Amino acid sequence: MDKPASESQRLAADIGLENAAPEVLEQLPLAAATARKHKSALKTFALVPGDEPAVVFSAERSGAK
Amino acid sequence: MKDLAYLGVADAVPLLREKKLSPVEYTNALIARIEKHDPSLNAFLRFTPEIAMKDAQTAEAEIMRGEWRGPFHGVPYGLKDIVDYAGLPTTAHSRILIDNVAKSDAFVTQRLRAGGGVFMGKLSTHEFALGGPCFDLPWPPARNPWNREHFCGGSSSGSGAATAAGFLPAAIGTDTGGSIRNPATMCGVVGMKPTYGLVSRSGVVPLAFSLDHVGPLTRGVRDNALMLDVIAGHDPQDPGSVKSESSGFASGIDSGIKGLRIGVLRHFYNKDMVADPEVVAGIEAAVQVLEKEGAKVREINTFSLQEYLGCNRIILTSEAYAIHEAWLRDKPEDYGDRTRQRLLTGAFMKAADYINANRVRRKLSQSFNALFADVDVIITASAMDLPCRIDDDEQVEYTYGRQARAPFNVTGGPAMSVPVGFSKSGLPLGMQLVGKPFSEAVLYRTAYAYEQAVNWGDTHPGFE
Repeated sequence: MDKPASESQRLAADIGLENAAPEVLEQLPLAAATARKHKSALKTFALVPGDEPAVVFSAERSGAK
Repeated sequence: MKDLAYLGVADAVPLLREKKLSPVEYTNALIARIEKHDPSLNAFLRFTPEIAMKDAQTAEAEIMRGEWRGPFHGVPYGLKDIVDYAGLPTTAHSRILIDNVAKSDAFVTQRLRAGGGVFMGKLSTHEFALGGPCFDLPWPPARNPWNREHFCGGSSSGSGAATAAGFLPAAIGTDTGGSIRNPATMCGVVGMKPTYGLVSRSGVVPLAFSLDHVGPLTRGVRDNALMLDVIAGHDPQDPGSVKSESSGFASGIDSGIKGLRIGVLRHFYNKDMVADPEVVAGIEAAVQVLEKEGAKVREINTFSLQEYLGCNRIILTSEAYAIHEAWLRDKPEDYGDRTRQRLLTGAFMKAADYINANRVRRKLSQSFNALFADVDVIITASAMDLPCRIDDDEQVEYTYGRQARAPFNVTGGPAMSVPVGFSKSGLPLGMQLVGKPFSEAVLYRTAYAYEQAVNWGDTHPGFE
């Protein structure tokens, strides 16, 4: 197996798509690189443990109008 | 009377109400225009003249009987083809959903039908509102009416192209990372992404639940406010829907902007990214017009554009991948190459990435919305670049991420694209107006003051 193919196979295994079709496999390296780029833009070091997500679960009072 | 092709909602409504314009005559004129010109623009994915004529005849009979339904009665409109219309396929411009016939109307469709609108058809979109212009799908991509060799923006590409081309006075689009405002900018029309939850998403194929918005595209500002009046409102079927009725977006639209506080967010387009000089010149000239109209202008700053974009893209691709994972596993060949490439990015986001992006989202939103203590409206760029050639894959990819729209899907407040003239090559330029949540009426008032001062609306594409 050549090098690019093995890289794609490793990425496919990482995301649980071991049996991915060839057209999917060949797109995985760029998809992974794009994901890394997006993540690198996020300054998560500024977060403290108490910083809640923007979308959180909240209970609704039963029968509330 | 104006040419019927370029008659706006606000101009048409009094004529329709006073029986000076027949809905049937109006609809027939647009049908003839679409039949003649859409084969070269592909704005429509499914043109439905038979439904349009039936709607127009019904509207005409009602108006003649004095049964006026309100400010959309007899007005033609189209729906981006991710919005359900009962009995018609909602394909999302994808082979995956080619046989997906809608069982009922989306909330916005219900509103437009109840308001007496005339449904003209389903409009082209980027595949699943994400893919970009693709030539490997069952339908061709829409083209820009100002130059059909160029990209018309997306993902609500048909909505932008159809309104700019005079096929429709108004269309529905959706916006997850800028997909109403991008085609509005590229096609020289007005596009509003309203506050999250103001317009229901039920009956709309989701791209990313927490970022998806539904909104109007029109040629004029007042037209846009009138359409938002019709489609805004609470819907218990949408868990994100705001629990209050909202209307009156056009009221006070012509009361001017004397004393309005405008903040210009320049670092988005002159430092974080460097926009095309013609884009910058268009925005700066517009700011001067607004200042002349009485606004108080100052420069403002926030986090870097890249931080907002990263937050948007992590959340968007994670939520989209959750929706598409099974199809990507089972029938990946049914997607266009570009769509599949973009969706697969979500496979490489961990749960912690998604949660942390949402934690950053709260901080970005709080910080951004705090700016509105000192300003009423924020102006920044929409697109950094002019519309590129539609067949230039490299430029399509390069310009895809060069935008300042996605930050406001993160923060959730209203943001609209307004035309600010044309490049030397004759392609449209746009600026973005941004407000605090639920301040749509202030944005419309600002945009209207600008529109009245410059009157770009009387310039139309010459594709005929």
